Amino acid sequence: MAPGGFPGELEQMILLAVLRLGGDAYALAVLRELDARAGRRLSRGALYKTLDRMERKGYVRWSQEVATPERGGHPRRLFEVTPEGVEVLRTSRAALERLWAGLDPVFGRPA
Amino acid sequence: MRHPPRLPEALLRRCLPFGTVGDSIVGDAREEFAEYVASRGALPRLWYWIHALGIAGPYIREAVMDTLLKDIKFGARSLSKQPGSALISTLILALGIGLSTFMFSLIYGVFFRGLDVPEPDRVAVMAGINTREANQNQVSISAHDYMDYRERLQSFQGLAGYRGGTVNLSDEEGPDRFQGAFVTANTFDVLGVRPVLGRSFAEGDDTPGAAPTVLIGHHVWRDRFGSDPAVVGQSARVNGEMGTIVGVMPEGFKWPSNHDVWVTLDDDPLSRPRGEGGSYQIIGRLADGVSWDQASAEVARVAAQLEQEYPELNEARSARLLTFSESQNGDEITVIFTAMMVAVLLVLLVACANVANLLLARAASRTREAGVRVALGASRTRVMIPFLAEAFVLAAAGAVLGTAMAYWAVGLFDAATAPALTGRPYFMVFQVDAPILAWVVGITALTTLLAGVAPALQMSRTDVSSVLKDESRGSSSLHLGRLSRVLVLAEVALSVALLVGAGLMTKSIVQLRTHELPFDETAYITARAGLFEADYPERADRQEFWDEALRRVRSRAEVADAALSSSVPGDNAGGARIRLDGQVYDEPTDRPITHIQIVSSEYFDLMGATLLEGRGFTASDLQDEDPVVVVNQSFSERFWPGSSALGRRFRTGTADTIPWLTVVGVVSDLQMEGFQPRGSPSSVPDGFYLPFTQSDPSFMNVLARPVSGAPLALAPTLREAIRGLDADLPLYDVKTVATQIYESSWFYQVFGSVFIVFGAAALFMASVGLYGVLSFSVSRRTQEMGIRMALGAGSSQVMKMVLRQGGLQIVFGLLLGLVMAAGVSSAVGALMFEVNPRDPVVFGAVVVVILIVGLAASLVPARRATRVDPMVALRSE
Repeated sequence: MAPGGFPGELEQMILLAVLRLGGDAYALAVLRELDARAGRRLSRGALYKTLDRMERKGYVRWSQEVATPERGGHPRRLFEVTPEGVEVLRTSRAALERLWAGLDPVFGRPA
Repeated sequence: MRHPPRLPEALLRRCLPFGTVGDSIVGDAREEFAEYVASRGALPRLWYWIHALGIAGPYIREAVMDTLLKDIKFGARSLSKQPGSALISTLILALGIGLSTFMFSLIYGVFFRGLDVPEPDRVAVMAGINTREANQNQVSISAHDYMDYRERLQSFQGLAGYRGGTVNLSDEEGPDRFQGAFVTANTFDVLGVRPVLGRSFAEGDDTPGAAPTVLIGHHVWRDRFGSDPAVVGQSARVNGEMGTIVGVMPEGFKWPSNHDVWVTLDDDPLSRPRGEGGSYQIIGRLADGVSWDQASAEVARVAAQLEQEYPELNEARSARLLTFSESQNGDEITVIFTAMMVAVLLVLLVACANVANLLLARAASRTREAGVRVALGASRTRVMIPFLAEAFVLAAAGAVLGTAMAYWAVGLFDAATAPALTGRPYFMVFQVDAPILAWVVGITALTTLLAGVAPALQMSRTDVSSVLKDESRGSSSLHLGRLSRVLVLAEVALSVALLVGAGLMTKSIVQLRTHELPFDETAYITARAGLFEADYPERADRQEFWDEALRRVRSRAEVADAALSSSVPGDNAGGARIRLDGQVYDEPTDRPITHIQIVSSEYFDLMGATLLEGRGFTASDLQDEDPVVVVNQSFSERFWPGSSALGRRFRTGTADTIPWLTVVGVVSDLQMEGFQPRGSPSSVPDGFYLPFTQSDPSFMNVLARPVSGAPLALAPTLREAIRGLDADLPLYDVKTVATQIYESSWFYQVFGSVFIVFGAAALFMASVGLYGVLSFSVSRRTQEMGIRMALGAGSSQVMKMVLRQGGLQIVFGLLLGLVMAAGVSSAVGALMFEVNPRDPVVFGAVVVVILIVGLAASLVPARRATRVDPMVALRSE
């Protein structure tokens, strides 16, 4: 099991979205990805706080992108998932898969 | 618009973390704003405000919770390092909060809880006023005026009239007498209260001449009728007339005050000339959508119409709307409760001053900590918060303890003033419930501020450079010292004021307990009965009834003596204005107020009064003879000082047709004023007696003294005598005269005790405060003391120096306090029995007590100062 327990549902979703976005994972892109893929609309505040928290846990880190004029000179943060982040996702997925195993008769095959 | 509005962006930036993280979030917001504008979204400014709030929300919440909790935890931890001072502070605040909560519970119960009816704030009492009188006392509204108001006023759903009285109910079970209200049929519609059994009054029940319909109280139903549902529809004689019980009111309902049964009004005031139809008290329910102000304006308008239409009767008459509580609470009770509330708020202030002081002492030792924090860039607010947090921890602990204390005290007070004991109105409920707890929350916040702001402000003013340069005690601690000395001075002053109040109250209670009436109140039984016109239409019938009743009682072997009286001796006899022969009175209110009592000829002997002049009443003082009067000693001395009262004449009322009363005797005083608070017009001791043979009283007390044994043992004798004459006539208020006297003087004891507690709390606080401050200032001056002693100062000189500092605060506090005490004592004058509000003994005693406590509180630190070892002191830091 992961050292800090399993990541929460929202944390997992954000981690996955960041991974999917590859090198383009800045906050607004993560929001759009979550909306598009998972139908999950997040408040800005909740997203930023969750990212901060996952940074403290060591699941994500960010690098600063050079400021652009349309952002009024404000920098942009690009997020990436750390190896620890990948590891907790893997552990969590494995645990879930073990739990799902054998339950097809109940749910049917996923599409 | 390319840029988002500046203000919300700046605010957002402030809420976000420092550095790139925050900057990048602001950048994201800009980007989104630009997209929104590009997509031609509506109201971009508003959109940005909402957007920014959504981003900042979680940050703000976290920051507040985080730092606040941290500060509170930190405060609790730092307080626990000095558990002694924390415990004392908690106790002090608990006392302050507890007392003020107790007092608020009483005030809430008396003034604000109001009637337990639907939408009580829509129920208004219409009170008549005399526009010429400055104090706007309530005057009654005539029945004719009521009818006109009812017809003309549009602002009310309904306007009900009622008057209080006595209701005798009698059926096969025998007669019983109840406190009743005679009401118009719409009364309970106006109040919005339905019976739990049977029906309410219906239109037509109050038609003139209709048989009385009766609603009974729940407790009457339970106690008198054994909760039998068949009571509905049962017939009973109501004050001599056959009537029907139609329903049972809900449990606890005793409107308007302490009433047991309600009977429809069936008189026909309109059949009599205007002005002679009696009067009503009026209560109404505002119509939907009508504001209190609109209704008041309409009432004033109709009153003005009536004044114009009936100038003779309604001159200077108007009416105004009061809440039910307002209409029930006289000025006196308002003054008393205001005085007591002021007193407890003073106690709370003292408590806050004390705790502020203790916190200041703690703060002083942390001046450097604050200085360092400011130097490192902490804002002033940030430096203040830990001190406020400490105050909050203390206040919260004090609130918990204080609420428990208040809960207990309110229970005691409720029991001591139980309606059965004191006739307290039913709507005054004293309990600690939601509104009271809301008060506790508010007062705790206030306490936190009061106790915490002074130290916090002081700390935030810390002068960084001087603190950091100063190796030991910065100059800032001197500022702290000055503030704390002012607080102690204030504390001593407040304590003096409260102690004087408490001292006067103690004296009053002692006075009351040792007060000797001119007769032995435990030796007599009293019982009351009332005759109704329906049963005794002729004056001669009533006279004969009373004569015969008294004769029967007196003929019994177990009765030593008996008499009739309109009031119970030792109780207030009731007031009357008189006009002396030869005097002219410009205004009706110029006529002097005195006491009036109607008695039978045996009364003076029975009560052991001494005949000082002339004669008492005799069997020949009959109705057809010239009216005679016996006055008491005080009356004679007040109106005819230095000369004989015999043969003098005066009369009551205002009409010239009222016959003169001629004084035939003077008797010693029998405390006709009862136990009225000093200063009220009816507290004068003078009064006069009318022979019952020349008066026509409907209600009388039978007073009797047994040959031997307990007076209450005569109760069956009295009952038998009355029942033998009239089986339907109930005898009520059967008790000893001593019980009756307690019922009219209990409030001196109850409120007096409350005040004594206030005073004791204040004394405790003042001594703790004085000790705390002096010992703090001594400890701050250890080094100075050491130097003084190293330079040759003797220990007595050092001691004197410390004592002088304490002494100055005490003396100034005392002087200020005595001035305040003069105000407090006048305000509570109404609660004191036979005590001069300027009583020199009490004032003197308080001065002595404060001096002793002050000296003791200063002596301990002073002795410690003399024990300072110069070497240790000089080496320290």
